[in-house]
Amino acid sequence: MNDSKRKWWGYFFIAPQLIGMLAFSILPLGFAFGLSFMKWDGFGEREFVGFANYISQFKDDNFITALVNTAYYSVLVIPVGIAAALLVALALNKVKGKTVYRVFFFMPVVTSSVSIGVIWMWLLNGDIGLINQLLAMIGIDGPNWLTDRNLVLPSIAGLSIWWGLGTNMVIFLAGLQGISRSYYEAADIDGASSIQKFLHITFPLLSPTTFFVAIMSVIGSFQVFDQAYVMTQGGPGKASYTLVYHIYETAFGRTAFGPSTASAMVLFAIILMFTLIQFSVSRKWVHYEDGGR
Amino acid sequence: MKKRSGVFVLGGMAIGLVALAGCSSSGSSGDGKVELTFSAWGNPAELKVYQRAVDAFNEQSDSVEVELTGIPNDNYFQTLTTRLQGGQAPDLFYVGAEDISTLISNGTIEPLSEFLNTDASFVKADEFADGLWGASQKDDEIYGLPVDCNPFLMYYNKGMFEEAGIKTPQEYFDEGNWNWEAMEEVTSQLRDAGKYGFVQEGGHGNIINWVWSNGGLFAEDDQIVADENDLTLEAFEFVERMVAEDNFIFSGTLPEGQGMDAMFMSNQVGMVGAGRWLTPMFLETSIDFDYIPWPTNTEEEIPSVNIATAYMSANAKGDHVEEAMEFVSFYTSQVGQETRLDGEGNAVPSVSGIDEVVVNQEKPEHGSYLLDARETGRVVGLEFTSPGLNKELEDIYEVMLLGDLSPKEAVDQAADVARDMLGES
Repeated sequence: MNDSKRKWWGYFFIAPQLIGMLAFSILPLGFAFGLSFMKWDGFGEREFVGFANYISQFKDDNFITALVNTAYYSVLVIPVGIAAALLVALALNKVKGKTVYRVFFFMPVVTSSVSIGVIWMWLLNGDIGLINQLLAMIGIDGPNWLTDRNLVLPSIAGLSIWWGLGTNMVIFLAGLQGISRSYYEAADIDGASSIQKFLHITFPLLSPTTFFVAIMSVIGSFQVFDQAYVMTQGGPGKASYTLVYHIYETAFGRTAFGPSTASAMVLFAIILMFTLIQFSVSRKWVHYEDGGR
Repeated sequence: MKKRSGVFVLGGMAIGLVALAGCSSSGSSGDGKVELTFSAWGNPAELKVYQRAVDAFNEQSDSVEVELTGIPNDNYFQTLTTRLQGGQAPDLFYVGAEDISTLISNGTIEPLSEFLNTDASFVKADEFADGLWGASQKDDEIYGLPVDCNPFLMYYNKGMFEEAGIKTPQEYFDEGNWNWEAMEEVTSQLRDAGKYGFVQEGGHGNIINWVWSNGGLFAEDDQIVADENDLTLEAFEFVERMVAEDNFIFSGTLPEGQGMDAMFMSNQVGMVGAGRWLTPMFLETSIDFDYIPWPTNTEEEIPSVNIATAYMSANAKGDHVEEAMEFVSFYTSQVGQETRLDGEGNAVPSVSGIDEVVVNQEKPEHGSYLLDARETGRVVGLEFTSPGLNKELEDIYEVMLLGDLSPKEAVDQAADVARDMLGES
């Protein structure tokens, strides 16, 4: 087979994926971008309004609330989520019967978000929830986790950390197993302690994995929707009203597709900005084993 | 060459699939009848009730065949609008009172006034009860017919009242004393007996019952007046206090699956407020229950409270609009409603002349209160003309009922948000 034929076969094989991406990602994204400059209720004519939708969103209290809530949720979820996944991965890397534990930690990931939401609504219920029943056993009068405006986002964040733990843990485990044993053997000969080995070998060589997990966590946490939708409908009041929930509510609740897509574009810009910042900062702390990028 | 033809076959299939997907949802059946699609929300029991009227129509029509498809209640309107936008919507459909203004303003549903005056229509506009038009009328044009209606009243568990030795709402009513004071008295006694008194739901349609039964107003002559009306504030204060003092339990704090219907059927709560839709389910239990009008705080014996209703509309872009309107008129006519609502029906007729379907039942004893409530009640109008306002108000009431917002703040915020959003739309 000559080179040109080989090239065409290459295109042929990636075509389904490419067409899918074009039809379901690139085109809708372009459409949404165009729509963010239009006034449209989903029917009939669209009217070009320039930046009016963007301006209206930044003047909209609901958008600001959603932005603040999403940022607060991300601050709660990202650091704790990454740290917890790393700790669990480190523990599971050595323990006996690790496969069983991995299944145990990974199980929530493959459960649907609606099921998870409903189960946790029961667990977190103030009157009959299991969590408060357990707290009562040690003499603590548990709060109403999902109807207290100050506790609802931390409660949802806790659930998200638990839910996302499996995915990040598996990625960390893969990263840990990719570190060559020879570094540890050399460190053993030099008499390094466990902490020294972690700080000077494991952590630096795990940094590309940590970097990947961090980026994915930022993207995931800014897109939080299912939990708030199923468990609280953004409530009580607007205490768990997140950015994606706002996009959904504006589009389908108020049939205002222009402002809704403008919010979606702002979300896109925020995620892009954080990802670029992470990439630029990464040069300082991410180390690749082969020294390459 | 062979390979290339394979690609063409695949391409052809893909185009064919797209073309199929783009087909209109209505068409013609094999026997030459025009086929119409009809969608509505409802649980399986309710869909069976709707099907009775569909079957009756199909039987009497030589030229039209209607097929009913149920859409889950959650996200019904979102599903409907998405299908309308994609040109895939059914020929006729249910629309909620809070959503119909959106479809009127964008010209998606067909005006019905002219058709209702023709001989082809099974029902005339003046057969419907006056208070039911709500947001379905705009500039004297009718866009949706009230399929039936559900005036709010209260259900009470007679057995529970007897067991706890509490005077029943009916006794208070017979004495002419079924008012808010009596409501507070019985719910206090139920609370002291270790039960819940009443389940308070949070949406605007539920709060407005207290406002109107106090003689207050949220809106008047297309203006929001909630924050200028002392009686409205008084109603908010009463509900908030009842929840704070545990006479009522706010449904927002109940766990999933423990709605007011489940609590009523498991003898946990003495009273719930709703339309007739809970009746078929309650009749399947052994609970001894009856209706009582909403307690009044005015001079009226039976106060004006909210009537929940759904409208039936025809898709203006359907292929057979005339036939669709014919079915809409049949479904909401005396015959259509009688077919659906007789026996263990889930609503009250919206047309006159067939009230016996509500009162010819042995249980609950006081079915006539539903008819009384229909005569005095009305449908929420202005607040439902702005898409999304209902949800915004619900959020504000929720915070108040959870004790984080004073009634005064809640009324002020609700009025501000309503003015803001109604100005926008």
